[in-house]
This record gives sequence, structure tokens and C-alpha cells, in this order.
Amino acid sequence: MTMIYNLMVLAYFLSAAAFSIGMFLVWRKKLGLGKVMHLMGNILIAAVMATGIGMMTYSWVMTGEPPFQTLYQSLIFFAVTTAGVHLVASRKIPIMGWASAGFILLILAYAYLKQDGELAQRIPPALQSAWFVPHVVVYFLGYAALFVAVVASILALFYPDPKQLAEGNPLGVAMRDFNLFTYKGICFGFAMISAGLLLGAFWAKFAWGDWWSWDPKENWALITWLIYAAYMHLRFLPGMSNRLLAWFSIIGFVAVMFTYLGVNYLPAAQDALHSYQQN
Amino acid sequence: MHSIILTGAVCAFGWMADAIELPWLTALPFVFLLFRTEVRPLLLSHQLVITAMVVIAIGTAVGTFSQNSAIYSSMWFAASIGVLALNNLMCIVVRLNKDRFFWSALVHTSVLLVMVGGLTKAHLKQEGMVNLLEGQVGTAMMVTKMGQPTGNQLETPFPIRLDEFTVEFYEEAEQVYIYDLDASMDKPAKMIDATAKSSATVGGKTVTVVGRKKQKFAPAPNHPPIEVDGLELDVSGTKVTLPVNGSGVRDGQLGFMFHQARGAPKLYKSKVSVLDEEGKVLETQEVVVNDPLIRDGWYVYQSSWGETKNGLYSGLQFVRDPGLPYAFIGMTIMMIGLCVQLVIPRRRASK
Repeated sequence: MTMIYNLMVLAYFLSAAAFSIGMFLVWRKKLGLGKVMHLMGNILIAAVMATGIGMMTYSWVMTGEPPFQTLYQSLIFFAVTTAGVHLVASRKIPIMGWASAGFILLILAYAYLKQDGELAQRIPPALQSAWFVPHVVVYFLGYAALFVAVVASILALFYPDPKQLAEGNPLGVAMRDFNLFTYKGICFGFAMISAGLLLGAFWAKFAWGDWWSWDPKENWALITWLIYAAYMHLRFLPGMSNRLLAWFSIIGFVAVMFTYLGVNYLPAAQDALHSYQQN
Repeated sequence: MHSIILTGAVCAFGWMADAIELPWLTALPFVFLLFRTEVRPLLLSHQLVITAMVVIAIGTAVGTFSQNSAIYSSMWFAASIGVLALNNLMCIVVRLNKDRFFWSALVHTSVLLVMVGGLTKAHLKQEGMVNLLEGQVGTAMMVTKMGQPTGNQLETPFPIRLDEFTVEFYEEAEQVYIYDLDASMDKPAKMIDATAKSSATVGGKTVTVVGRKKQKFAPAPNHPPIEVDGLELDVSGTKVTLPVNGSGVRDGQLGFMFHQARGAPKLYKSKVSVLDEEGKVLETQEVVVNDPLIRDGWYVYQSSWGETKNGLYSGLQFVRDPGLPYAFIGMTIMMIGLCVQLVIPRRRASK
């Protein structure tokens, strides 16, 4: 399993390198070669996504338990969903490859730090539920879509007019508006994190006796949801600046990452209902 | 600006109502706002909903960081949720007769339903705990609030007998506890499985389990060494053998201890019978985590377990939440509504 993980990391390094070289070649006006490198980067990301899915399926078949129990496993799944959503989104913003490969590498590096204390998997009774898999899957699909949205938001801050990017980089963009792309990403991501939050509430009722317990993880999931819900309403304000919308999307993604990783480090989370996720 | 003033004023009113211990006063500004036609455009505004959401988010964050759960039941926090509910209500009323806003109105209705469910739960939810040994009948429960005992007792809604209680464990766990002695002598920095190739990095050193190895070990200073089972560890290139009898070994700043423990609980289940007042069995069911017994609006959960000198006891939790139907219906509608509104219409619009 460690070997497959190492292969995944290596392939992600190669894809990041391919995207970087592709960008350099395009900058040097060697457009054809640049596009080939870019395609190679995407093929590598697709291959690694397939390897990740294979690794998780193998683990699921061998242990009979869904491979999302530990932080390490969830990070691998997050890398897989981010790669999947990247492959869809990169058709619209090819430059996204570099950001996606970099972000996935960060996820895998963190996963590497978390795999050392790998104990034999012992799924606690509360996690033995039919709600577990859909709850996790929709959340990570949502997180991946929100990552894509935040990349578009950052691009929107640097390039308020996407044509500027297209002029400097012929790989550039196949779209007219980064803010619209951010909005589309957030629409999908918000629907997914809402579904994840609600599936979690249903599950909590059957497992813990209460659909809402003001647990730190739940609280931060709610805060994230409120930030994105506020973003959805913010768009309707007359004269709303695209910069503020982009910043809201960035704050939302910071909240997503804090909900996923940061909450585990809060003192309040040590004895909380979701504390089994910290291993 | 008007939205911030309105939300601030309503929250301040809630805070004052809390301070003078008349929480119902929090409802007064809402009654006033509903009947003042001149404030209706403000109540419908996006500014107001955004302000209310930001206030709720900040309140929740403060509650989490300060570990002060009293915030969630405070009247100023309830008032900010009330502003959101009021805004929702106005949105629904305005959009009811407009076809193109059907899904939007539905989603806003669902949010309102979840809030009604939450409010009902906060005020009318009943919960209690019963610990039973096999064969015992529970007729009284310790009343709890948010899982914490209140010190009161209540009759259970129906007598319940524990017929059988079993706990299944995972296999025995053999682990190596690794201590960073500079940081803590009591709490291990890392725990790894005592199987070959398990590894961890502590204090800049990588510890890897090599495998089992016999070793000489002196149980006391003047005792001749005896041969015992050991576990060989590789500590950044240095070999350390750890006896598997529970004795610790030190290597520089790192300490190691072999630990053998009963595996974590895999499953605990109670076979319970619901009795009538004469002791006749009305229903028998197996209760496990994630699969409660549901009867007369009450949910009976497998909540905990423990050991006494008389054997294992099963902790059963009784919960009745009258807000549950509203919350569950609201959540179901919200999931469907958001998916239709935010994912499917994109395609329809592009056609």
C-alpha cells in the first residue's frame, strides 16, 4: 500500500512538473509543445486518480470496511475527488492544472505525515452505518468543487478581465468570466456540502440521539455553510463588487479547510463526538 | 447599515431579556416588526439575511473557541436566528405566487422548517439515561440535558427489561507506545502497531518495528537474566530491543513501552423487551448503535456500556424530540430543493 502511495506522489510531482514546463514553454511561445506537456499533466492526474480509486477499492474489498475512517484515508479520498473535479474544470481553465497538482501534492504530503501512526483499522460502532459513505462522499465532492471555485476566485482577483490572462497565456481560458465560474463551482459545492451536512444530521439522530449537538465539527460545518449561503445572497446585492465576492469565496474555502483539518486541533474537539477522525 | 442596526438591536434586546431573566421578552421586537409595514422592505432584504448569517457564524465560532456552549442557548443568539427566520418567512410569502421562484421558496420553507424543528427541540426535548444489568427492568431514568445529567429522575415512558447484553471486541491490540521524554513522561507521543514495518516519527527520529526477537532480561538488579520475548525496533538506524512484558526501554530522549490491550469495542447490543404495567411483554427488539428502538414517539438508543462487579451493564438513552418531524421534513426538502435549484437549472438555463 505504501508503494502505491509513493507512486501516487511521484505521479503528482511529475504532473506538477509537466504543468510547470508546459507554462514555461507557452511563455516562450512554443505553444504546441506547451499543450502537449499540459495534456501529459492531465493524463498523469487521471492516472493517479484511477490509482487512488484502485487503492481505496482494494482496501475496501480486503477489510470489508469503507476506506474513509482515518484522516490519512480521507486525505487520499480528498486527493482523488480534487483530481476528478480538476479534470472537469480544467477544460474551462487549463491553467488550473498547476494549482490542482500543487494542492493535491499538499494533501498527499499531509497524508504522509498522518500515515506513520497507522494502527490496524478498527471501525467504532458509531461509524458502522449506511449513512457513513454518502455523508463522506458528498462532502469531499463538495470540497473539491469549492477548491476549484477558490482557484477561479484568486484568478479573478489578479485578472479581473479574463482576456488579460488569455493574452499572456494562449493556454489561458475558455471562458468569459472567472466570477461566473466561481459561482458555478460554489453552486455545486454548496449543494454537496448542504447534502453532507443534512445526511450527517440524519445519521447523528440514529447514532447519538440528536440531529444537532453543537459539536465543534458540526459548528464549523455550519459556519462554512453560512459563509457560502451568505455568498449566494451577496450576489443579489446591487452594485456588488466582484472583488468582494472573490474574497468571500476565499474566506469560505479557508473555513472549509479549518472544518476539515483545523477543528481537530481545538481543545474543545478532543472529547467531542467527531474525535475519532483525528487518528 | 439598516440591516446591521436592526439585527444588532434585536440581539441586544435578547441579551437584555436574558439579563433580567425574562427570555420571552425576546419575542417582542419580532411581533413589532411583523406589524410595521414600513420595515417590510428591510425584512425582505438580502442585506438583512447576510447580516444575520454573519452574526450566527461569529456567535458559533466564539462558542467553539471559548468552549462556552451557553452561547447557543442565549437569547441574543436565538434573536439572530429569529431575524433569519423572519427574513425567510417574508421571502416565502413574497415568492409563493411566482412560478419561477418555486424552488427558491421551497428551499426557504425547508430552512424555516429546520429552524422550527430546532426551536421545538430546544424547548420540548426530553432525554434520560438508564443503566441496566441483564434481567433488570428499568422504570426510572436519570434526566439529562445535552447528554449531561441534571440530577433529576423521571419515570421511563414504558418499563424496559434488558434480556441480553453482548459486547464484541476487535482482536487484542499489541502496540508500541513511543514517548518523547522531553515533552511528556506520561502521555505517549505516538502509538504504533507492534507489527513489522509499522513506523512513526517522534522527536525527529523514525521508529520502525523490525520484528520479534528473544532477549536477555534481568527483572531485578541482582536477578540473573532470563530469556524473554522481545520486539526489535529500528530507531533511526540504532537497534533497540523492547521486552514484551510491559517494561519500558529508553533510548536518548525517546522512551518505549510494549502495550497489550483488549481490542476496541466492535459492537455492543442489547436485546430489550418493552413491558406493560403488569409485566407482560409488548415488544422485543435488539438495540444497537445506529439502530434504536422507536415506540410512542420515544427513541431508545444503545448509548454506552460498562463493567461492574456483577457483570456488564448496558447504558440505554431515552429521547423524545417533538421537533424531529419538522426538522427531518425540512432537511429532506432542502436537499432535494438545493440540488434542483443549484445543480440542474444550470443545464436548463444553458439550453
